[in-house]
Amino acid sequence: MTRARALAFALFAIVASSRRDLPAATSAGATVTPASDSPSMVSSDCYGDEFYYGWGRARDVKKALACYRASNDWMMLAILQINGDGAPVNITGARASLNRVASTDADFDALDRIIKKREANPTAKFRRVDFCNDVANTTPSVDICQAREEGKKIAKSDSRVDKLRVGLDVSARSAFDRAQAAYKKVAHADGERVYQENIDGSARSQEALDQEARVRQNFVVTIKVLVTGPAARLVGRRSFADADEELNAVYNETVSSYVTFNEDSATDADKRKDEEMAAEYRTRNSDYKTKSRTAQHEWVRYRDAMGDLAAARWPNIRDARDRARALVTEDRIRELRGK
Amino acid sequence: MPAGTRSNSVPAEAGLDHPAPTQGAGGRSVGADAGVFLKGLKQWEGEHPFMYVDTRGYVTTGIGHLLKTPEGALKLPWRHSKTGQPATVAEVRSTFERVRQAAVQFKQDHSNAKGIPPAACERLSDLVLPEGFATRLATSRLNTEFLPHLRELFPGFDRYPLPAQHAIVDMGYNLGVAKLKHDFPAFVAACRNGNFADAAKESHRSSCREERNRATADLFDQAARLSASVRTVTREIRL
Repeated sequence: MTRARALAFALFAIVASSRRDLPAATSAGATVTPASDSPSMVSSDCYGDEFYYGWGRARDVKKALACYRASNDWMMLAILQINGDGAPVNITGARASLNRVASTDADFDALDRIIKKREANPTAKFRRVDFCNDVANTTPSVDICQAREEGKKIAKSDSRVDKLRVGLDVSARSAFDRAQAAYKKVAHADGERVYQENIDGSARSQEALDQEARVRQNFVVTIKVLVTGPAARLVGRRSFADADEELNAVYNETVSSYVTFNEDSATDADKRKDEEMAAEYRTRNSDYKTKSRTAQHEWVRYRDAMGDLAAARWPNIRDARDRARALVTEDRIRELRGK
Repeated sequence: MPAGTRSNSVPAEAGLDHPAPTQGAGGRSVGADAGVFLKGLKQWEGEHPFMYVDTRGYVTTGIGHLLKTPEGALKLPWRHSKTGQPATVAEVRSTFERVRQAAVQFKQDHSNAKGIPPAACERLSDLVLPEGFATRLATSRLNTEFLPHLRELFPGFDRYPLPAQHAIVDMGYNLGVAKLKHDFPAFVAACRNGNFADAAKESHRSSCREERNRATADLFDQAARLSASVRTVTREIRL
């Protein structure tokens, strides 16, 4: 554990005990929790999801239960109580835990409905409850769940790509490594660009995740062609020069439409004498231009790295580099259009 | 994106945009107070009065309110939850950094498990916004940012049936108005034509769970029924 993390969780240990002076927390929850469901000893730096999902350690639902309780994560605690994870099924305890949740939002309502069904049919058999599949409805929760799914997909595609590398001869491997590293950078930079593009919407993180997924999917498909495909597959629908010309037009259109929207908004704010919003819109433009340029620079490096890989793979094909760059450019046009 | 392409989206002055009036048949513009939209927004956006990070590691608070920098956080009236005492500048800065650092650390520890749930960030500090402040913050954003844009995009917005207004505000807050304008042209056209039944069909967002999409579509269906009722009553009165 790093020093910062230790500090954070040490602070948490002090704070957690004093948080949430909610009326329901004072009695109901405490009295209905059976002994079998009581928390086991956990260190103050525990993190329930690590134990519950087995991230970087062995899965341990009893510790997860204790951690969620210690961190006042009543929503997750209720889910474990419903499922009987770490202790026998305890619907009364789950209800008490849910009553401690401060924010009655769409996540709360989803879990409330689940518990109500089980309260009404105590002997019926129900399937397990999963936070992401059954409860997550608010934007932050959906964002987290989408990110977890994306994380799994990244791990899977990384593994597939690593396997592709094994089949390459040594001379092409360094080009492959450069292309893979460049892809990681462009995926992140383009996620940042799209985040900024959607900065006024609460779904901005999800939009960024979607964009990273597009970039990842295109990379996986194209690098597979470069590594395993015959040279005949290295043919786009048009030349690199033609594709590049369209890309420039699409890029300019993308940036200018965003900039125009914010510039118009700033002008409107000026008319309303709302200096703060006018400045905000102009800052958004400046940030967006910076992030667009960064993403495009990273993409150019990625495009050229993919071209180098093609050249290393097919040294006898004179235009292998440009053919690969044309394919990657076609991908980029679709990515900028969000498709 | 091309977010907010003014040239290829539905222009503000185009379309019929003459739905049934919200109240009475006079067609007088009745601007809904931003506060009426907050309950619905909180339902779907959640409300967290402490600093947390989104899945890209950006510090956020309240009802999806992004705090780009520590200076952004310093503009808000943070307090200690236990004592109610106002936080100092140093405390706000250190909390901001601690929350941001927690996201960095989490990413290092769990490369494939992006994002810390807000509930896990709550433990990092006892600084909270005063009760009701997150709502006021969102109301202010609605008034200064979202509603002016939505009224520009939907010139008859204030005369739309209230359920339609709620649904449009939810979509605008979630997607951003620029994206709503650019990526949902059929939806925008349907609203402008007062065709809320079609708006219901065009309102589906891939970024939302089915429950939220259904709730939005239900609001538009309610609006469609209200519009039809008002038209019927108006016709009968005239006869």
